[in-house]
Amino acid sequence: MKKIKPYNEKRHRGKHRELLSFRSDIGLNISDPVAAPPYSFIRTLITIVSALSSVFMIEGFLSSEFTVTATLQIFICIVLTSVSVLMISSETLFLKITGSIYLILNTVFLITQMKSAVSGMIYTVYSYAKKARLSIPLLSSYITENAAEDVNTCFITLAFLSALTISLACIYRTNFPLLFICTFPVFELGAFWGWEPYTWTLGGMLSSWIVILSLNLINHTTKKKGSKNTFAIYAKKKAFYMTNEKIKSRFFSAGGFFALMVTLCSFTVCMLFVSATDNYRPESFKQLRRDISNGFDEMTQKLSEGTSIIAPKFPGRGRMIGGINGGRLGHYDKISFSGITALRVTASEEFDAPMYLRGYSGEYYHDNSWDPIKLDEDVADQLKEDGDGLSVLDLGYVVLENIYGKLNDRSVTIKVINASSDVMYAPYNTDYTKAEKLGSQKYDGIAKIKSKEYTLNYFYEDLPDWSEIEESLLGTMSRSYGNFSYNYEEQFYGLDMPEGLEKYGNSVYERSEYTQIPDDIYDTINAIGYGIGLSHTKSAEYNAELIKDYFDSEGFYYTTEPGVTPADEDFIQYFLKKQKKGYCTYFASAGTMLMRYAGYPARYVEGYVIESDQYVSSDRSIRVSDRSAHAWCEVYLDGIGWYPIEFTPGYDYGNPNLTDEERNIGKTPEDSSKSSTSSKNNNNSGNDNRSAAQTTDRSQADRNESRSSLSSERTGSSSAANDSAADNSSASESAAAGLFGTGSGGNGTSLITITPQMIYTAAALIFVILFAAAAAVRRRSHLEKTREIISGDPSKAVIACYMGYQKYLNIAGITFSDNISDAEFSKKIYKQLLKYGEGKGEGTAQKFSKLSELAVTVYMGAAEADDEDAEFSRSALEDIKNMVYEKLGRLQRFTAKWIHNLY
Amino acid sequence: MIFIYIFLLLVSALFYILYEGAASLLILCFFVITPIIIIVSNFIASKKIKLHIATRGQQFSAGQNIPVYLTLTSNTIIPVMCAEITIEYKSSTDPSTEKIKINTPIFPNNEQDLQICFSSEHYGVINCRIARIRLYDMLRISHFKLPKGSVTENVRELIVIPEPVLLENPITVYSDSLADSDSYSDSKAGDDPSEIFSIHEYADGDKLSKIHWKLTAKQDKLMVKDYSLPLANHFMILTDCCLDKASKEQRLNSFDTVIRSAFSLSFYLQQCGSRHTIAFFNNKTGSAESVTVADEEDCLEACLRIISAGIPPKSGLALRELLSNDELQPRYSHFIFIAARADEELLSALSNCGIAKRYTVITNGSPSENVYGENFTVIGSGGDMEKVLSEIYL
Repeated sequence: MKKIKPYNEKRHRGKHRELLSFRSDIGLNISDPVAAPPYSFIRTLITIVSALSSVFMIEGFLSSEFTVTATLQIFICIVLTSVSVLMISSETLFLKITGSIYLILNTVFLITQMKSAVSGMIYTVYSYAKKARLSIPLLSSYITENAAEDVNTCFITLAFLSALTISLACIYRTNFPLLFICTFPVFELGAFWGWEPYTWTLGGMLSSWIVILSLNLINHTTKKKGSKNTFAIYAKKKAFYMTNEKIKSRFFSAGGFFALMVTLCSFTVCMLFVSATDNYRPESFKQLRRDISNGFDEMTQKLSEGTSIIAPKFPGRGRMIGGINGGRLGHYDKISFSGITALRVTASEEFDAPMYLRGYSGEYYHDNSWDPIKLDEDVADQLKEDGDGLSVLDLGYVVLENIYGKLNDRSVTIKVINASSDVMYAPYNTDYTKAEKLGSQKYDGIAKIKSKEYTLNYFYEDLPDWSEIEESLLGTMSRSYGNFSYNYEEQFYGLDMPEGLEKYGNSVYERSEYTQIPDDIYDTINAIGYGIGLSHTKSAEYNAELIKDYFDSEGFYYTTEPGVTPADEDFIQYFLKKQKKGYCTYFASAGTMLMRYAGYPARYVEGYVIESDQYVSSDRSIRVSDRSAHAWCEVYLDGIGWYPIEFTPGYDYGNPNLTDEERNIGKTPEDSSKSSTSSKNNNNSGNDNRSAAQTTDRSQADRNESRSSLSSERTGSSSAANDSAADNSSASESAAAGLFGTGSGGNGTSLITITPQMIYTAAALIFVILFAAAAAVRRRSHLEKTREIISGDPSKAVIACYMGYQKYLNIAGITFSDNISDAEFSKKIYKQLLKYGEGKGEGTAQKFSKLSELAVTVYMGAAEADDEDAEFSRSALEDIKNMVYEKLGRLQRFTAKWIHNLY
Repeated sequence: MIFIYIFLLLVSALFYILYEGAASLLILCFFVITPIIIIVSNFIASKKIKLHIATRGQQFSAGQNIPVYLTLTSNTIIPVMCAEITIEYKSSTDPSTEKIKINTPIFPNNEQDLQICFSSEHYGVINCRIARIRLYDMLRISHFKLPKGSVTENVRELIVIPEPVLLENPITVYSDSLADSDSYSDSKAGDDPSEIFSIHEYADGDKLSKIHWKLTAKQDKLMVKDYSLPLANHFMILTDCCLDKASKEQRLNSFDTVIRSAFSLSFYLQQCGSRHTIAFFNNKTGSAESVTVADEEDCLEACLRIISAGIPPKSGLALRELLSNDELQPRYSHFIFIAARADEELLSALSNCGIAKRYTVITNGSPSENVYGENFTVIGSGGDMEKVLSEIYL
């Protein structure tokens, strides 16, 4: 829409005169009336359609399924609001006042119901978050028992507000950007998650956009307020644009109607096409979809990395993926998962047990964080001297290679998407040396790689169970457990290990960081460790089970909302003594410390855990989302190397945070159930029967609820109560808020409860009746008054007849908005009447000329009219009244009668 | 809007790829099908719409509103959201063409009349025509031009002529001048013995030298002959509108001044019954032309011809041609040269050419009055030509 500057002729005279000067207006005359519904009808219809589409689109996205009553209430609200705004924008005072009264009353009503509306809004947002699998726990604490019933009030409020704002864009102004801003976010809220709206709402929204856009493109206005120009000139381009509101609205009725018809036809054709083709999608689009998604993920990751200014102190820090943050503990109130892709993994073969991808490891615990320690220099030098290019991380692979030879070397390709690329992710028993572009190792337990996509070889679990390996290796070990020294020669029992790795094995015991328990928490660790019987005389597995049993028996449970560790508290101590709830980092940290107490060098590890269900056999790929981020403990076992131990409840057989979709991608239901009973796991401690979590006994399908279910089974969690209340209320959603609802305790009683919605509907009906009555009374009084004046004093009668004549001309469409004299006006009307009246036009036109002369004479001069003049005036008025009535359509007769009070 | 549409189409295609479900296909189809329908309807409408341009009247004064009438007739139910009508105007005094655009919707099954008014501050001949008319569809994705057959014109040349300055200068009677003439007055007797005007009986006061002795002898009464009055073009008004090395505005102003001056003088002379000749350089033919003005009609015609002739490319062309003409030139009593500028060389040549008894040169230069001899005066108007004209010695 252009604002046009009116052409100032004076400004264009003078020194730099144009060769030709154009008058700032163009005269326009349209011969025939436009055969189309009035523009006011079109824009009200668009408003109603658009508002209904918006509100019911939300309903469709949330699958709320309103009752018939609720639907009717929303419809009434939208229609009345739109019509009220139309009435306010009209020129008739009566309509303006009526429209304003309705809007005020509606606003007052909704203000009184504000609490209910807000409650309903919270519930709606909660439903939305739940459907989108967003974790907004704060909401659930605000959900009340009646929240589901308040949804209707919320939607009525929403309907009112959307109708009001959309009517500003369609009725008060013709403004496409405003309409788009009001309606597009509604569509986007659902489309973002891939939800399907109701087809008619999509059609309604698209149609309203197209109609308003097409009118907006030609809706030029002029800056000069009150300008009566038909056209205004845009001086720079020497172009005239139509700016007259009356003429524009005459055209908009035809143009808008046409645009509406075109869009409806087009949408109908589209619907027929879609249903005929049954929503055809080429197969190649699936791959294209994945490629585009990956590309987008990569791009966002690059952007986010590119914009980070301060390099993290340790690798892996600075990026919080699923709550894992490079060993920093207790800083977050809760963690939430967005489902973002962290890694894309391609495995050469399927695997039965969860695959642990280790990335970050922290050995030195202090100030509520696990920091990595640097690789021992002597070890590093020795490894270099060995000349094999080995890394300390190759220990597991080398041990197994020595024991079992080259067996079952599988490969896995890891592509880092949104995870931190500061660390390298690899499964256990990986041959790090063979990885291309491996970076130099700076930290003891962390590898770096110079590529975001790399392929690794690793040993798989076709090997004997870990417990068997452990037995065979540990059976003949002898150690001096008091001071953690051991017999170097006996360490690997004849295994041909490179000297560097042997030296590394020594250093693990020699370095205090692996065995260190900070003084300020020693008492707590000691009390627990001693109490449960942790001892270095027992195997690592046994000690780990004791720790897990302790967690279980003391009521420790898994939650993603444990709360922030107070500033003056140690993370592990606070967890063990007071908190007793948390997610993987809590259990892994505490477990690590307790294993150290048991005499084992232990460290804290972060990475990702992949369930076998996530494997897609068609393309051997696994989408690893942030839900797979995990932390666990590693202990050092002589002769074996670093061995992972799972302390987090629920993780024994997989990842309880995964969604069904992630778990079942590309899998059949049989495959899913098979993987849930897997027992062999080369990365697992083998504690298949000793899990603190009750979810190990649950089926696959329940795992999504394990987090919230665990919460709900524990006492004292307010969010759990709200979750369950919300869950219960969802079952009653469909029955909520009927006219005869059970309210707070109905349960099928026969009492009729008056709800706010009933009051609203009744009030709306009463308002409409009152409006009709007021219109009737107004009409009667106006006609009476007019009759009195016309039959009274002759001079007043002449003027009244003349004014009345113009009103009839107005509704006949014979008007001139130009600023012209009465005489000129009279001439123009004369010509128009000749045309309008057809056969009778001349007589009518002549009568009008005489009437206008009389009126001007009486009005301006001192002379008074006589009875004859008055009689003539009445007759002229009667003539035009009848002539106009014959030519009016039904709707026009209705408005002439009830709005303009002319009949 | 076409680029926005292409962008939206790409976005909807991307949406279709990324989102499974009927909605994405619906949106894609909608963005494909809707413009097709819109373009087809626009095309159909373009075949059913006619435009007619007309002008009324031919002569206008400077600053007067000149109306141009456009009539758009639509015989289709399809409304056209925006029709862009480009009207081209060209003036004889300016080689460049001016265009204006009118953006108007076209009502369906209707006839709409548009009246555009413009005015010209300068004199000249103005031609206007429809350059093109484009019909845009409702989303401005495409446009179609109206075919030539749908556009009809009834346009004449519009001429902007000056209002003459009212003069009351005394006019010298040049009856004994050396002015040549081949025509004689039908209504008035004179002193040219070569032609007899009338013969009548002797009345008291008649000159004896005018007695027609032969007829007297035959008719036995005294008959007297009256001599004819030769209708001599005592005045020659030569115009030179060109102003070398000047801006467009100065050239046009100069043109206006010269035209108005010449026209005012001619009009006044004609009103006083004084025949005269107006000469000018015609830019179109590339040569000097002259018009003999005997009545008001001739005066107007001369004015129109000077205006139509346009501004000469160089100054002094008409005078040079006149002076260089070896053929026997008619002689005038008073030669009035109205020019934007006149150089000394030309003035000197003029003073020695012997075409007239008296010479007056009026220029737009700085106010001055120089007399170069007995009957040769050069007057600089200094921008106030009206004053100069009112004081000029005719």
